[in-house]
Amino acid sequence: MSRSLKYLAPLGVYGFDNVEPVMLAALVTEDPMLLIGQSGTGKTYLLNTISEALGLKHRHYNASLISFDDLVGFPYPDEANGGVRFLETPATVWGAESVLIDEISRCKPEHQNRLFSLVHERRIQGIALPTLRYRWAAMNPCSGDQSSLDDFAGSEPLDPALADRFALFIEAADWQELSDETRSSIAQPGGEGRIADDGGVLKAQIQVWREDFLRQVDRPPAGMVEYAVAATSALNTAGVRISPRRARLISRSLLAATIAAGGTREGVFGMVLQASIPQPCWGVKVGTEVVAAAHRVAWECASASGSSWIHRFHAESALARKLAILLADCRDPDEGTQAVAQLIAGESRERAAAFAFALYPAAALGKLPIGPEGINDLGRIATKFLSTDGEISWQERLSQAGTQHPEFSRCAAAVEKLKGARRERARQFFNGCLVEGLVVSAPAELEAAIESCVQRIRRLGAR
Amino acid sequence: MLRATLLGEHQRLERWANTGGPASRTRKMRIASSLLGQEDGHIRCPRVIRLGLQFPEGVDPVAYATTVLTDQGHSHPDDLRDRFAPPERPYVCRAAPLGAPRLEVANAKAEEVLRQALLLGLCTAHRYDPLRAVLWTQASLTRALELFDAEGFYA
Repeated sequence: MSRSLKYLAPLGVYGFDNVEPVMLAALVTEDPMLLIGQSGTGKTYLLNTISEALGLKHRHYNASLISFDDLVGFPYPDEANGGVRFLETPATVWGAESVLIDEISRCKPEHQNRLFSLVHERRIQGIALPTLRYRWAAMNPCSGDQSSLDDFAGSEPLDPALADRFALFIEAADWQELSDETRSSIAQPGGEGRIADDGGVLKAQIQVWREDFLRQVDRPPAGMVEYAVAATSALNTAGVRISPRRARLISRSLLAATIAAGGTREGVFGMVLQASIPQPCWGVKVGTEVVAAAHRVAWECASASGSSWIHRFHAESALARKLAILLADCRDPDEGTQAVAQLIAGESRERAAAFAFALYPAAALGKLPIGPEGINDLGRIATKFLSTDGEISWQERLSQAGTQHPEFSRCAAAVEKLKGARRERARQFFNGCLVEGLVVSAPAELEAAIESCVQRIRRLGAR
Repeated sequence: MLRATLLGEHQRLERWANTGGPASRTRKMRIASSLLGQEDGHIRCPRVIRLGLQFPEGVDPVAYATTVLTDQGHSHPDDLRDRFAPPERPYVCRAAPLGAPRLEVANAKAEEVLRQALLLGLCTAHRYDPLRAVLWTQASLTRALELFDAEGFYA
């Protein structure tokens, strides 16, 4: 059973209803969370309010003004133990349960490096912070060139390595994105300076969900990991780099959001995926349609039963990995045929040709789980590359002599250092590309992909 | 392009004029290469069989082959497996080059016609599969194919 989430409004926080499941997921996982938004959109207010509602020992630092002593206190010699101790103040990080690093994108690089271990490892100066549960940060949007009037001067792109330590990124809505009701609630004159108090509802609920999360984290519900893997693959294929670490963070956030939502909901999965994209931290906009497409592929992959391998097959970008999935998980040659047909229809001509070239001989020999139609599909493409007889033409300036087809030169460079059978295969494939008029964008990479497939098939024969 | 030198009173003036002729020429190169049928080098995918039947003009190939089959005492093309023991391994098929010789069924021995018809019936355009049912169709019986052992591709 799913439930509607309304934990923020009672705390006097408005404008975050649409991302409440993601916010609650971050509270359940206790993974780092970063809020991005224009000034005055309530980012800092939200995080400070949550810390009050959860009764946390909270520290709020402004990264643009911070000095290291503010974080750790003034160092003094520890004569008893021969080391250094820090003079603690109410503002130092020792003993904190939640930390908000405001304006993190306005931070000096050397401070970013110190915050790195705080965000990632819950450590400062190598010293563990055992009580620290929540690491939050907030920043204004940045852009690469600060050329727009909407850009915030001084809000620099975040280091991608630091950004990658945050599990979730929540974009705070600006005025024009708010509903009339939310606008009225925000504009109410009261509430300034009041301590958030919902009677402990949020704190109690987070505790229950957290226990549930810890029970399930080693054995998440079916489809959750598949979703994270497929979404990560699909986004990487679409040119949105998602790190392996983030794939795990996505799984954790999905589990927590599912627990908070009271069940697996497609909308929540899509929301978590959208909030897991780190690129806005360094000023790169990722189209919502790109994320939505990755979500669709991943959701199908997670919800399909017997043929879920086909979704993973299509979500995977590397040709050799596709082949590995086909070999490992395809039990029905008709499904293999379907996968091949969809690959040929969906991939670029050069990649489809490479895949067919590498697989067709093995498929014809009956070594792959592909039905007769699929073998014919592969053969129809591959035979043009296995045997080539055609003419190529190019333009040569009158002042030049002895030129070569420009593609010939590019492909020859990819073949040049190869040896033996690999060289013969590569040369033949690129000859086919030339005759077929196929412009290969990255010949060396495509050849390596073919070779990876060949190696995998060769290992198959050796077993 | 033409270059003209104009002699003025005090200096030489050079002018280039476009004659309208092409500034480039088209170069052509033929590329013919294959991994199939190659019997030297690292990759060896030898040609195993060449198949192709030439039926008299206006004759239905399926009817013709079926008549030869029944004349030889068989009721179904699959019966020919026992008689000819077709190769047990699958092969890669490639269309034979244009003009490649075909067996003229009108002048050939029934034995050879049926052997080739059996093998053609076990082929699609791209694969010889000894495990599939023998299918005689207009398309299958009129193909001219070369069969290759593709195992060596993965050398």
